[in-house]
Amino acid sequence: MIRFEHVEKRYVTGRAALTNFDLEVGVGELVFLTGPSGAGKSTALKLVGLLERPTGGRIVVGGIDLTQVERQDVPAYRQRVGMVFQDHRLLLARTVWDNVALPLIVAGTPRRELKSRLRAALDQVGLHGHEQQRALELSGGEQQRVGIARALVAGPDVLIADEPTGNLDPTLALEIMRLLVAVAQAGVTVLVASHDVHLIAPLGARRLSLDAGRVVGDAVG
Amino acid sequence: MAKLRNAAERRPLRQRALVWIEQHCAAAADACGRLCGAPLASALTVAVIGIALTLPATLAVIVENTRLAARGFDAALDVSVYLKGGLPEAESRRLASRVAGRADVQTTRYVSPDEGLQEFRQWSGLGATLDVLGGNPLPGAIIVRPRATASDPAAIDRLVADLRGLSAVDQVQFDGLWVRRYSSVIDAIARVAQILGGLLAGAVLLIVGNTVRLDVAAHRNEIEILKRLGASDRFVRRPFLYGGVTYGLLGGLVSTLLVELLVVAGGGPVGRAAAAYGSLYKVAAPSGPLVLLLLGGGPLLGWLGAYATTTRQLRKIEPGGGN
Repeated sequence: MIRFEHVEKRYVTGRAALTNFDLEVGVGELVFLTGPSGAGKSTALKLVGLLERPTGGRIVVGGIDLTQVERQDVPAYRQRVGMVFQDHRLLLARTVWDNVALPLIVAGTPRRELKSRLRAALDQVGLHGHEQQRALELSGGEQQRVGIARALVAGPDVLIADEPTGNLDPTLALEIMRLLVAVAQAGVTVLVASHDVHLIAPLGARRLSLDAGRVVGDAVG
Repeated sequence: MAKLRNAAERRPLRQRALVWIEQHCAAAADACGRLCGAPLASALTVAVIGIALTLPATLAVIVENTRLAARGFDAALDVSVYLKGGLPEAESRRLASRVAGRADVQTTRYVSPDEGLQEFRQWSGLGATLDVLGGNPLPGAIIVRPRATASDPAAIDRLVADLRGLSAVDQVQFDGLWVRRYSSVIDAIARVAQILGGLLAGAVLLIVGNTVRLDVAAHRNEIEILKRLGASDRFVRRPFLYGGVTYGLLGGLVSTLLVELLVVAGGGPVGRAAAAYGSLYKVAAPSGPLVLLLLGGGPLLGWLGAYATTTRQLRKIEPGGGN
């Protein structure tokens, strides 16, 4: 599903975020990218979401060579990828319903289809009944679940999550991680960046260790 | 690489059309919400656009009215062609017909020596003196009305020169110089109105552009989120375009109302001044095309200003963080 081939990413400052980075992730697989700050975890996710472009190598996601995607085609590609962020990136003044509906509206989904798909996504993350609450009124964990519902509602092939539990207490963090495991079990390829190895160890998922932009370990559990 | 198709492009055309309408309605509602959300700032922007459009529109109304008033001056452009004495009437009439056939001549009227004498007797008050002459000293004449207006003096000059060259013609008289000067002044005002119109249209573009730029900056976070979710620039731009069009439309409406008010306010004194000169002239309201220009041009300028600004601004907002 996702293949990195000798990928390099060097920022204009000259700092190398990824060096000769190789990775292969299968359909419906859950992979955690771990490592210290600056290891290249977020950069790898940004490259999969086409939020950044590699400076070398090749990235193929679902058969699409990302180095060949034209600027005008980037929005169509991003609609296929669900993204979850540490700071949730919600429209705080809007309701849960409005926030989760955004990817469907952006993708041109008819209004009459919205209701059923939104309900399904909110049920999946356990937020049924919170539809009309403003995002601002929710707890950190609930906000993150809204973020996950928003990432899933359009039925993406790939879900990327950058430190999704960074701002949460251990109980809520584990809850979010279990949710991501369930998403992967439903057939979505999930790539999660996290520095919290203690949190992800019990999940028994594949773990890729990064350091200074290089893969230094690839293990399960 | 082949173009990536998004989910919407894979849907049937009818459904896509329905979604397109839904998205435009949502964008229009969003734009109205933003305008109403800052009523004072929006009202000020609309007022500035309205006033900017009013200045050239007022000049255009003055030009329209002056041209209307000048319509009665057509006869002043007539060219009097005096024929040589003793020219047979039949030949004179044939010449009048030949001149009337010219492309640059609207009409001709032949005035026989007898008719000329009668007209002269009527308006000169010298009837008794003319009787003393015993005979009719006046030649036949042709009154030629050119097709060209006062705004095309070269065409009238060419016609006068051609008429002077005719062998049967003794003298050609053209007294329309003052009409030409009057027309030149109107043309100059019209040109000033056009130039001002162009400059102030540019000002409207800048006003709308700056307002939309601030609006984009205020919604930067929202735009970044939308782009992460796969929104195209076209999708993000849409509410701002509706905002620009609304500013322009409201500005055009304000301008139309202001011009109407000026016509009402100025119409009384102008009408009284005309009446003092024995004229029934009344100031005319802005013409239909001018009102349409204001109501259509305002939104168009608003759209252009918003489009140029959002296109430039959205390129600067990329969710990657600009690393």
